[in-house]
Amino acid sequence: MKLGSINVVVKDPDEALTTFLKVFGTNNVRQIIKIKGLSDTVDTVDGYYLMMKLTNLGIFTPLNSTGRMGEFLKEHGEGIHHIELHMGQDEFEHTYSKLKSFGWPVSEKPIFIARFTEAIFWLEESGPQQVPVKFATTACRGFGEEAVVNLDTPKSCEIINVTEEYLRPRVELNTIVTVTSDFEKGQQIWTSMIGQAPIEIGDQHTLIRDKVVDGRGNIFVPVAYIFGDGAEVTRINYYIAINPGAPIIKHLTRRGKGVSSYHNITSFVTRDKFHLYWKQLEEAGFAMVDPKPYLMKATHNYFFFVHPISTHGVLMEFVSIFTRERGAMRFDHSDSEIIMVPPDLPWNYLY
Amino acid sequence: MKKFANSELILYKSVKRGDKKSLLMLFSAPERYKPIEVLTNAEEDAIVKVILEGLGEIDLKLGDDMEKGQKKTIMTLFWFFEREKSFEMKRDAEAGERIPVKMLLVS
Repeated sequence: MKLGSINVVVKDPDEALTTFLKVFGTNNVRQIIKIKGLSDTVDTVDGYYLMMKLTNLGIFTPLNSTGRMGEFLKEHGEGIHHIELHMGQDEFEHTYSKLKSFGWPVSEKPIFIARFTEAIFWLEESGPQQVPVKFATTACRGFGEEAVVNLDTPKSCEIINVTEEYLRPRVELNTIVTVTSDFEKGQQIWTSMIGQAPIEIGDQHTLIRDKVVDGRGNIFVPVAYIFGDGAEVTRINYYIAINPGAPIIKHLTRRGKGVSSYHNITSFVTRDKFHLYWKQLEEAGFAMVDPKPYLMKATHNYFFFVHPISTHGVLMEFVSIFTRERGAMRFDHSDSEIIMVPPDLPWNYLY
Repeated sequence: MKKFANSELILYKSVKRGDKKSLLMLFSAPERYKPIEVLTNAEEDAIVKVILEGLGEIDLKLGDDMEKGQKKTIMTLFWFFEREKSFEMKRDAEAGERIPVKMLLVS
């Protein structure tokens, strides 16, 4: 299983495509798929799918106002709508059966998206996790005619080329951050849903629980559900804010949801290009949340945020790139060019 | 004191004389992201007197080096911990009122 895509609902997908290409850089997007009339029996959407190295970005606008995406757009405006978890077919079928046996609100049957030879099912927002989650697999064998809903969808899909070029350092989307006001119960729910326990990331190096002060008003306790290892990690981060008046708590209140909500998406950026990238985004007119990248002393990583006012309702976080070895953070110097001391020693030379 | 920047921002919420409010409380996100031209060079941690004309004033530290001619915003001039500092309102003011903002370089 991996965090396959993060999907945002927007009013104008063409405008949003330009916005997100400016953020991620055309050099970090391997392929853009234009989709028209993608249906799953509840929503029909137009939009784009940006294929990137680790986690893809879906940009969709609903064609009807009564589906889950249309309702979301009416109630909350543009923003992060759902994540898509990608997995092999065996795991997909097992997960569907498991969630159905829990009595959680999954699609009545998996839906076969014929034009992509893919199958999906939804775990609705009304489930105990309180955010919409979509599960998807590329089918390698049939499911049986009665086991799925077969849909001849989308109406059209094509790979498109864009003429504009926005060059950025390496920017890798790989994390969704979900926030909650019921941390322990929420973890039990997500653990049951995805079939693995989270790791503590309060202290990213020792993996011990700790609070994080983010320099923008939040003090929070985090855990992470990690998929993959090394440089191929994708993550669902799960936070609870513990200081009254924290922006995370205000976000939950604004959403009208006391318990859980998607909060932001996180991308990793080449370590020695981090400040250059910040300046590129500021010059491109994005709403930078602080005067410059913030140095998180506990991790020795820089990070910064771009305000959703300039990114179609999506709060975007960027962090100096790192990998994970047995869960613990290791700095990734692989494409840094400006280095005073070459990182010649292997990371495990002490072991 | 040198002129550092000028702007005009629209008040987000009504305030009463004697209230303690911060820039974060007084102005909505679109106002906080309104471009403000920097009128003189200044270094990180320099003190800027932010004067909301007739309403109140506060000294805040700059979050980074600034160059004359740069377009900044309330958010990119000051770190969160500066933006959230409260200061006393000297009069009543209504939401929607346009407040002239003068910034002077103190040191």
